[in-house]
Amino acid sequence: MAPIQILKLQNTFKPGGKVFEVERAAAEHSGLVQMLLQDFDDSDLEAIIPISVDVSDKGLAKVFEWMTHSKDLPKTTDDGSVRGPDDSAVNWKPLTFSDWDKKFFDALDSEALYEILIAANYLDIKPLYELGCQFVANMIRGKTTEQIREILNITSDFNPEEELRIREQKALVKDESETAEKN
Amino acid sequence: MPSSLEDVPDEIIRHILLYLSPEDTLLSFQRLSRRFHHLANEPLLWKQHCQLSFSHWGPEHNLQEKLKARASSVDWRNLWATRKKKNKRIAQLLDGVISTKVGQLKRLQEICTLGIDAKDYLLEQCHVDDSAEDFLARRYYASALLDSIHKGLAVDMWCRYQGQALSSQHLDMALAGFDMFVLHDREQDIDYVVRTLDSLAEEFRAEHPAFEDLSTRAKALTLLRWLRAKNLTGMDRPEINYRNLRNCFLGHALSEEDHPSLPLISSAIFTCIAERLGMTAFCLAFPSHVHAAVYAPPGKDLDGNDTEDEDGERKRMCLDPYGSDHEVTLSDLRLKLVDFGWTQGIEDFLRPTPVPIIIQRMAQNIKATHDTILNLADNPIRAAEMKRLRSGYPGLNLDAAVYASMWAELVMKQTSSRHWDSNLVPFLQKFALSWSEDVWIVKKYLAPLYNKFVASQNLPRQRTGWHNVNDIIRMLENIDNRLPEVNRRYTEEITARVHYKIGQVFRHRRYGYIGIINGWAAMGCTTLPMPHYLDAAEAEEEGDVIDPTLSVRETNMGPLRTYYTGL
Repeated sequence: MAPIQILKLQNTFKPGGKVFEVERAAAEHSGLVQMLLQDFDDSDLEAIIPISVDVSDKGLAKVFEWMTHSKDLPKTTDDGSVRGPDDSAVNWKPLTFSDWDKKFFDALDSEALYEILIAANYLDIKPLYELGCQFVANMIRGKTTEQIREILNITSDFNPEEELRIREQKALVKDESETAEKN
Repeated sequence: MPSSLEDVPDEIIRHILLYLSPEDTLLSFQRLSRRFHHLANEPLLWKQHCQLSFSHWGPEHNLQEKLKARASSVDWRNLWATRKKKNKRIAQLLDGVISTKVGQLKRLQEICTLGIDAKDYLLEQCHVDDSAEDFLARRYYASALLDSIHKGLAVDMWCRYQGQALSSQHLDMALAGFDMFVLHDREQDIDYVVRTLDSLAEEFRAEHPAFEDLSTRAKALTLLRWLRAKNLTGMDRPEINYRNLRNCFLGHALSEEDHPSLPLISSAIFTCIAERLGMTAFCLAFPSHVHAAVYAPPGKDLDGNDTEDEDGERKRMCLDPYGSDHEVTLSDLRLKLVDFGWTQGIEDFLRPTPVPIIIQRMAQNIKATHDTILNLADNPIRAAEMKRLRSGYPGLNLDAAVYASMWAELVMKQTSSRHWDSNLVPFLQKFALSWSEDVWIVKKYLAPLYNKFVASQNLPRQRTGWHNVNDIIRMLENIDNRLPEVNRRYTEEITARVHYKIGQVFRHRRYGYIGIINGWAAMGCTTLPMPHYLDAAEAEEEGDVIDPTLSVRETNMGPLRTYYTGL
């Protein structure tokens, strides 16, 4: 029998999740799927593969869209061809986005972005997870606290005293980083 | 459904923080909310930032131990902030160094005393791109500072042999001290030499599993032949290359493809690896050609037979790792000594030589190399080839090597020796005129030795000027504090007589040397401190040489010297 080329995946976190049909080559970006493919025969894989993660089908659809588009990219295994910052501290460099990836992430609303992070983490899709984290970091870079709160929809729960103390700390650091930038 | 970053689990936030710069984390991210404040201050994150932001750490940090310890037991965040603050201070000081000559030496000293912690910032400034207006000055001073820090490390290590005249410890590190004087922006420092010898010993051991069962003689010959088969000792075409500057440096010999080295360095490579393999090996300062000696362990002779002898001829053997795959017999060496005309004290040459003497011998080798290269003046291409190292300007490297040999002779010689100061005057002149940024090393290491030597003299004589280390330090610091006088050009006529501008490059009409106008002084350049020079050929390589029609004021500068001061 030829190996299964289309996998059926369904999020069972909440009842009534949609069944997604994903090409095997695309699904293999997921470490979780890779593990399943190793552990089960093709005959088992004809059935629907259940996954369970707290994201909506809309978010999941975006994840599969990315996987399908990137199906020909080299897959990461545990020894990792894509290096995240926790792999080798010394040689780490920021990631660059391909044109397609940039368009993909730019078009996301914040809800979908967070869902992608959560799903990529759960499904262990290392390149997508790293890109997502880098994308959020890029949104924060160089912004003031107030700007970030607005962009990421965060409310402060500091009491005024704490707020003051952190502000003082900031004054100290700011001096330093300005010199760093100048050079 | 996640509508805010607040709905994203900690694990993911931690990962996002790895992509955020430390400055962004401190300035804005940690102020978002209590939860984010907590996540932004976790030790593991700051351990990461410390490793990413800084690659060189002074020994006072005990970094390796800190890295092994639990992240939460180290205040990584504070450590990052401390290093960052140091960089900020260095940046301020370097700006000051570039903007004014007044107090320049003081600023240079403050940076140097920060030691290895200053390396990251200085390395970056050594390669600063040419978009900054003052990039040449930045590169120049950053590399002078880096060099000075390296020299300080070498001198620090050499000084530990004071009071240890007979030490045979750490020959590898002591020889690598010379490499530090010409290291510049490269990696082949003392640690590199130690690591490389360690790994060669490991490699040898792995290839010779039955090594431990061999007799001492067989061990020594096996190692000798292995090293020579790998071309790790000796050199190609010694008739041309013998006095090539690179042959004087252990780090160069180990890292270069064909590993060229003088007999002294070849013997040191052999003995250092033999020691790592558990053998007892020394260098022998045999006249004209350093050899290596290997001793059998107590109770055994070289061939593994039991013996009562403690020190007989059957207990020790000589080798020439530079030139031969075979044992050199003691009687051969004795005959050679007779050939040299030596009849007395022959046996002294066949005894292990302590490290301080080997280092002084290396210093003499460097001086001989310097003289040989100077004699090649009529063959500039050959001369340039003979002094080219992996980094830095050839002429400056040769000068730095000679300077290293002067340092080595002073600090390796015991102050109890009657003639400790025989090379002091030329050293102080060289230092004050060419390498004044090293005044912190002179103060920290040489001045105490000098004071000890002077105090130990039975008949102290008046020491002033070039005979007195403290006088010279004072002189340099006086010059450093001197505010230049402003002499205005009051009349049109005076202005019209001035043909040159600051920064202009010229060729001296009479002497032919290339110079740069670096300032105006009433006395010509005689009163100015004079740092490093390049020779004419190198200045020409740097480009932009013009040939003005008028000669500048004749000075006492010798030919072939170009003084670079206020670039």
